[in-house]
Amino acid sequence: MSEPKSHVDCENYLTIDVFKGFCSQGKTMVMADDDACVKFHPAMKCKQCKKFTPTEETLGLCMNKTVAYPEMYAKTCDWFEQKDP
Amino acid sequence: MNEGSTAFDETSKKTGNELGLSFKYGISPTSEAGYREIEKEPCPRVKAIRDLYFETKSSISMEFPYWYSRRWFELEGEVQIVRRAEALKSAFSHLTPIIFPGELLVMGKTHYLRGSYPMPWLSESFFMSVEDEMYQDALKAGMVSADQVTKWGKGGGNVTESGGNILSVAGKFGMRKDELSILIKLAHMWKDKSVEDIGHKYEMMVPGYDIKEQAMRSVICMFDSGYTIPQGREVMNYYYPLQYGIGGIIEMCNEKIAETAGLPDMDRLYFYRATIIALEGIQRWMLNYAKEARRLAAIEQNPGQKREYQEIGDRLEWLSEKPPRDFHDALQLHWTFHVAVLNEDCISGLSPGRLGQVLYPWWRRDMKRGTLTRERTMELLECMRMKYTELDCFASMGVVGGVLSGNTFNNVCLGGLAKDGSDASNELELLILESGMTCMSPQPTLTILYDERTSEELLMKGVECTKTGTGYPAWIGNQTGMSFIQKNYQDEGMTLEEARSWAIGGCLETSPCSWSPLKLDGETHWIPGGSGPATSVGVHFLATPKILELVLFDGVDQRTGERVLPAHGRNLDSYEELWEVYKEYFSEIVRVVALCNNIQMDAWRKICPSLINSLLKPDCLTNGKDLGQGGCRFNTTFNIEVCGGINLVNSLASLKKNVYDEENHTLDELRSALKANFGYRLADEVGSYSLIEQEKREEELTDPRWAKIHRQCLDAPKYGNDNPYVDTILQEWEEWLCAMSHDYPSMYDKPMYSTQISVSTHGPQGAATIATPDGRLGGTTYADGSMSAYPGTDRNGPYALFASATCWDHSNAQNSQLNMKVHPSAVRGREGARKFLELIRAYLRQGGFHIQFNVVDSKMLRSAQEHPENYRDLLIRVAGFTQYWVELSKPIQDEVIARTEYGEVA
Repeated sequence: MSEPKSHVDCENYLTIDVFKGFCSQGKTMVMADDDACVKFHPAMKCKQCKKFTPTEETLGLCMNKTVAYPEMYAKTCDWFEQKDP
Repeated sequence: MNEGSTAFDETSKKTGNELGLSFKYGISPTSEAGYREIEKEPCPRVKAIRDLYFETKSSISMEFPYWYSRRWFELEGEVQIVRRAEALKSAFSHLTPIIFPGELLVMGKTHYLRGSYPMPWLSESFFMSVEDEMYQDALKAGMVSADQVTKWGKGGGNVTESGGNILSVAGKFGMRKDELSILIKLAHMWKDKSVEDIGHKYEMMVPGYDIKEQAMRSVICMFDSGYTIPQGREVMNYYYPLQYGIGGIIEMCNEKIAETAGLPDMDRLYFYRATIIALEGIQRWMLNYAKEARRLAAIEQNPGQKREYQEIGDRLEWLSEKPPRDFHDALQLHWTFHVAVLNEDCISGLSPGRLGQVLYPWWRRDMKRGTLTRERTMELLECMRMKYTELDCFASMGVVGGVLSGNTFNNVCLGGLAKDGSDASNELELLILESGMTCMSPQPTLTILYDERTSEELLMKGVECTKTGTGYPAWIGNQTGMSFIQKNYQDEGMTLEEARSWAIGGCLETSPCSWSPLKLDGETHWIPGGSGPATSVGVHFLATPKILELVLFDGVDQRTGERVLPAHGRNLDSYEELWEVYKEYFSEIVRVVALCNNIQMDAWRKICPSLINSLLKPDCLTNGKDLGQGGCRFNTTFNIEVCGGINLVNSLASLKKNVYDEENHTLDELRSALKANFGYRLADEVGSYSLIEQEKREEELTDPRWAKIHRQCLDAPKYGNDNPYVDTILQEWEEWLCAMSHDYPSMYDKPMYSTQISVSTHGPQGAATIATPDGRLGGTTYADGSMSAYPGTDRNGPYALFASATCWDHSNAQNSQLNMKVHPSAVRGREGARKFLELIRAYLRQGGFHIQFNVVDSKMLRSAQEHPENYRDLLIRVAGFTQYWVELSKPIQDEVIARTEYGEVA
């Protein structure tokens, strides 16, 4: 059984504030931690990157040397490489 | 009694009338509580954006601090200013772009609509000190649902409690729990390296340093400079990007590098190199937005929205290199640089200045060409208002809540004079005022620089805007401001012509500007822009009534019981002796705090020199120095800020009359009454912070003499009534304060000046002060501003208040501040508007620097306090800024409610 996906982890989610965002597909406001819909597509975040290694629940290492955190958006990161599904 | 007026009037009777105070002047209002003569709406596009804003909470993102810190620590050993530039470039390059449907202007501080972030390189101690508490909070938050803490009501956009995956930071900002660990990690990385820590290490070497520590603990001084809000309270300058484009500035820097490399004064080389690096970061940031706009365009089905996304992408790509082609481009580019500066430092009070005059050449050209309409201009200006309103500032806790009330103070000035001395107002400024009415929002706040030459059309439009109840525009005496500018900057070459370019930075900080020759289609337009660094750093808000408390109690804080200053040991046998001791105490606090803040500011300029703001400010690019190194044209910019001046003056008048002239009570009897709060409960016990609503202690716990002394204190002459007894005391205080401020050198080795605004500090500083000899009760809020009367004590009408306020020369201080509350019925209709303008004129012609109005019914404010959920959009002028009522603290709300309501202005 696959892990439930939240809006906050979806590429279509535009952050409004820490609680909620706007779905650029559904054109509606959605709560960040509610379950995503079938159009879910993973957002580029450190936790989705091949070069990220978790060290604890909310921290990890980027390229095995620099501290990073899993929930950080990585859309603008030149080093981002999508993890294999 | 009028219908619907019970709440206010009944509580007035409760204590206000009992104390002999009247919180109203003139005829009783005849309209309904919520009456507003003028009510307008934004265009549908902006209404949707504003509705979204109303539902948005202040949010912290760790993206910028993460990338900044990561790059900084990678570059150990690099030249400091280049290291700083690389860190900024990395942070800008990695900001996640977010664009919402309907936006015509884009780019923001973070990926949140109302986002901000901590800057641990400035200050990290708060997070270190509450680390455990925050982790505990994070654990507990999981037990509260997010829905429970997103309810509307008190707090507006503030995240007042933790819940679900969200942590409340300082009762204002929301942060996602999964970012807490990286925040704490970064705070640890910056320990002993931040401006706060380095500054602290050296400020302890100042002789008498412990006085500064005590002054901060007793809230006599509100906050430090260097690590809280080291920039701001200044006017932006958009000339270089507007004239040359980013590519053009980079080219200029490359030429300068060729001229300076290897030659003496090598710091210029590093400055130019650092400037290029920072600009590359801004370019990358813009291109990331352009890319996002194109991504959204690709998935958008609505053809209109799709086209707008494409246009946003094209515009940003063009502007990442070249100067603007039209008004829309110019508006976007000014905004991009405004946010860029806000992101380089923790800044409040970064003002666009005379933006309508800066952008006018493009607007006029587009209108002439027929490529722009007034309707489209209004749409763009309303979009701009929302972008400014979305700005948040994450400063230290005391600064955000206790000083700024969550405001960011971006002030647009209108009117004033042109370079040749003619009226500078224009049609675009009328539309800026109109957009302030159709899109009522706190930012940007508006100010009219009133001059005898200012067009009647602009003035009447300003009155119309004031009547909407937004609290803006502020009305400023242009000649008074120019006079201060000429006097203060004459040693740095300020001329009359240059002084005409001045504007307000922040809420009311008079700031030096200059003219730049903008060339468009072969025509030269002299546009004004800021030409100095922050004009309000130094000694931040001294609680003047609290210093009187120290005088009366031999240097000991009566709230904490701690000694703040060495005992003076004087008997205070005469008023003159008391006044001398006051001046000695005040001066000693200023001496120590000013020296400590110079050290902090020095740490700031060494650790995180300003780059983006510097490149914009004449003459940094010309001489190759950042603004921390005195690169600006004008640098006499440090100040000594005071708060509670009117309570001090009223207290001195009471002491003079009751203790010395008439001997109604002795000083010891007064001390005993003050310590006993005249037999009343403290404000915190009652939960009320004005004199409208207070409670006496049980009779057995009070001494009947306290009531008698209290009566004598309240009956003593009060400022605001054209009474020479108290006005001469005000005059003496002002003349002394303005002169003594020049005795202290700033970090730039220039004399300091006095600044007389309160922002929101009259709340917390009042809370820290016991009862005062003017009859004010312990813990209640001081009078706001510096020329506003203490609520309920101005009884002789507005013109008597003006006479009192102008008994001294306002051009000797950076500012002064007079706020009044006027009932809407007093200025109703065209006749009311005329009377209103005459009232404003009268004050400014008498030499008043600033006047500002809340045109509101006090009954509505009381109702808004009881039912905040019904008043999400209610705007109120506090002291130099307009804020949503629901985002103000109760001590400030109580003070605004208590302000004397003028039922007539004739």
